[in-house]
Amino acid sequence: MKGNIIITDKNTIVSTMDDVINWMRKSSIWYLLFGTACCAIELMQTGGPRTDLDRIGSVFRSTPRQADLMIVAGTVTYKMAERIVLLYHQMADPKYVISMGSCANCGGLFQNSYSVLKGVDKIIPVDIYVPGCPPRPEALMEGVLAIREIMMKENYLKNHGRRSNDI
Amino acid sequence: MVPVLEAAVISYINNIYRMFSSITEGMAVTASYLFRRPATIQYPNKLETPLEEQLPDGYRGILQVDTRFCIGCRICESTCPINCITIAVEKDAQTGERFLTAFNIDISKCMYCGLCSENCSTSAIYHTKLFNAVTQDVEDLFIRFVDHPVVLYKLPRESDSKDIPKDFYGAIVKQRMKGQAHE
Amino acid sequence: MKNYADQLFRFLFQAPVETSSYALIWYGLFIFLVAGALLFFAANFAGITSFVERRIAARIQSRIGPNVVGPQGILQWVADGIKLLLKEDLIPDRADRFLFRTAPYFVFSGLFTAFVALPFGFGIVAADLNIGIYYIFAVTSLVVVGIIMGGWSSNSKWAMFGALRSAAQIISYEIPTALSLIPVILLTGSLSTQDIIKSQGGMPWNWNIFHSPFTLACFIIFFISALAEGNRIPFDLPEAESELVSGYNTEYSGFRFLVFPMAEWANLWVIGAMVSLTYLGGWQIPFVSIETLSGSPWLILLSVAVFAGKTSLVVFFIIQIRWTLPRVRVDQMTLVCWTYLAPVCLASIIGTMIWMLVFPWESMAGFVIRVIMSGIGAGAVIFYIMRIRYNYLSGKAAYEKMKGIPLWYPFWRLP
Repeated sequence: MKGNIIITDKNTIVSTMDDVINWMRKSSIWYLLFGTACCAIELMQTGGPRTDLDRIGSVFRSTPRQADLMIVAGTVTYKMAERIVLLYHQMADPKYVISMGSCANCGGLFQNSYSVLKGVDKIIPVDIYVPGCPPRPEALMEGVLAIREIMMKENYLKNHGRRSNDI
Repeated sequence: MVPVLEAAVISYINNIYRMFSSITEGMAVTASYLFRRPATIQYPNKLETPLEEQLPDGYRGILQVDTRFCIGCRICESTCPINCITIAVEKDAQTGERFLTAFNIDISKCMYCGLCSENCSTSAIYHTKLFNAVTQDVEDLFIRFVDHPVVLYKLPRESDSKDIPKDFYGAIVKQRMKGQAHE
Repeated sequence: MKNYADQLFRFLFQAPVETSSYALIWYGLFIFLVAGALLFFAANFAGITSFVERRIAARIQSRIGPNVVGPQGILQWVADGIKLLLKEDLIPDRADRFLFRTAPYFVFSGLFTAFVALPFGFGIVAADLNIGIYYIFAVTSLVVVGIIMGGWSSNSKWAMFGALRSAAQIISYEIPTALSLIPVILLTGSLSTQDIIKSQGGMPWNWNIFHSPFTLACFIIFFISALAEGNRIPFDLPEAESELVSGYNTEYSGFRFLVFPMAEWANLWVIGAMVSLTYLGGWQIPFVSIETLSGSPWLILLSVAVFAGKTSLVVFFIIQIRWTLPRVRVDQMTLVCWTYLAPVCLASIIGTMIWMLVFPWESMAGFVIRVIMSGIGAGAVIFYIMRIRYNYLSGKAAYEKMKGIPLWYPFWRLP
């Protein structure tokens, strides 16, 4: 938030508007209900009673058109990779990606397998990596909080939601 | 014909009765939850104690190495099923002293099986209770525990590995990750 | 509302509207004012209900719900709305662009025009149409046109399935919805929403619901089929998230998507108001006759509060049903409509007719039966509360033994 305020005077209103818009955006991060492997169980648990992602305004949407955040939860096989790229392209801008668990980060346990993608960042731009096998629900919550911090640093009005890491 | 019709009428009315009784029962159950205490712990805002302190003792969090106590036996490296630990040991030609020159763990690859820490004779490598290592760059998760060559630890004969202090809150890992992020 | 317009004009300019040359402009202005007020109310009600529903759902699922955004999360719906406005507006490549863009407006207008005939209190209704109920049915069925247009034009199989299900569901449930209100129309002799409420009374034994067993059955049928008309669980088939991806709004993003849930939540008010005005006595205050009500502005305000309270109770009940029951299957949905609701409804209409002849409303026998019926209703409510208490107590001892903290944490206690 402080980074936006330290700019020249004529842009002050814009930066305040940016803060308001970013605050609205970060307050309702809807994630895509989509899991590729066992991390999806922890993903469901994150929305469950104990951790309760709904508390910070995050609910799941089952269609990519209405989602802001894609949580790649689990092993990405080569066959699934095509679908993930398709889902990523179907999401509306601005969109963010969390890579959850060792398999999505770098292939993890299945790194020597013939059919597993070595890290989901090879096919889509990843904003936040959450280590763990699988991560605790609280660790995924930290990931969503990190996405909120990224959102607050963005200059929405200038870029109109377009992000530099589009593919 | 008449008994069939009678049975049909009875089942028709019975269905209506069952619908009402089951819905009433279900609604009563959900309504009772409006008066029960929710299970949410309100992480991270309103925790009474940090979550790391609430975790059980056997919790397998992120691996941490206390290089002062490493004897360089490389058992952890060889038992690791996915080779996420890399160790380099060098020997000084003159003195014959052995040094630990590299001890790297790829946290992003680790599967938290616990085989390395179980086999470690001095508990130099162990699981902390640290679970949160969220990062924007996957390179941050490759943790180098050795900056300068460290003389290998020699296990005293009468000592037990229980004497080795363990830091379950992961101060070393936190410091390493922070240091690498600023590079 | 014309009375209020005339009175306001006389108050402001000290002249009757009829003689003024600005009468048309004044009425036009007033129409815009009322329309704006209704839109403001409907949009805000939809937003706040979305937040309240999330909190109630969370408590039912042993969670807390949104409580970070603003004090106790009260700004959650504002954040959701503005975020959706800022999202990219995607239109699929091979979609029918014109229909795709116009479909949300049909849904929007279909629901929001229903607010014109809905009363809010004594004499407070945008237009006291003499065919009020009929008008509300006519315009709310416009929603299905919007849903089918949206599903068809998306050029996606999930949206298409959702639209087809919606067509099957809403059109078949129109019949029990309309039939189940005929007893009320028989009892009242009018289609106007104000007249229906005026014919009832403040106390439960003066409500239409407890007139006879047949009107009680019709009330339940109307409630069930109103749920189906509003696409609420357990009749959530057009938007079935576990079967069709998101149903008819699968391909919608951003603001165009926002219109669909907004209309759905505004529809909650329409359902609640319809139920409470037709069967639950509307804005009638106990022990206050209509003559004294029309004289005092404070009592009129109280009538607004009574109506809003009854409607909110119905809305709360609908929300609780949504988070209790599973979704029915398509065949079960049609089975319920054609083998249970419609025949029982037809039988109830005939039964009400005979009942009206045998036990007229004013007669002593009719009054006694109404009191007995309302006693049965109160007994059902008490039974329900006792079941809640039983369910609460059944888990209490084990929880308190395990955790060492009291289980009692009612929903009005904020975390």
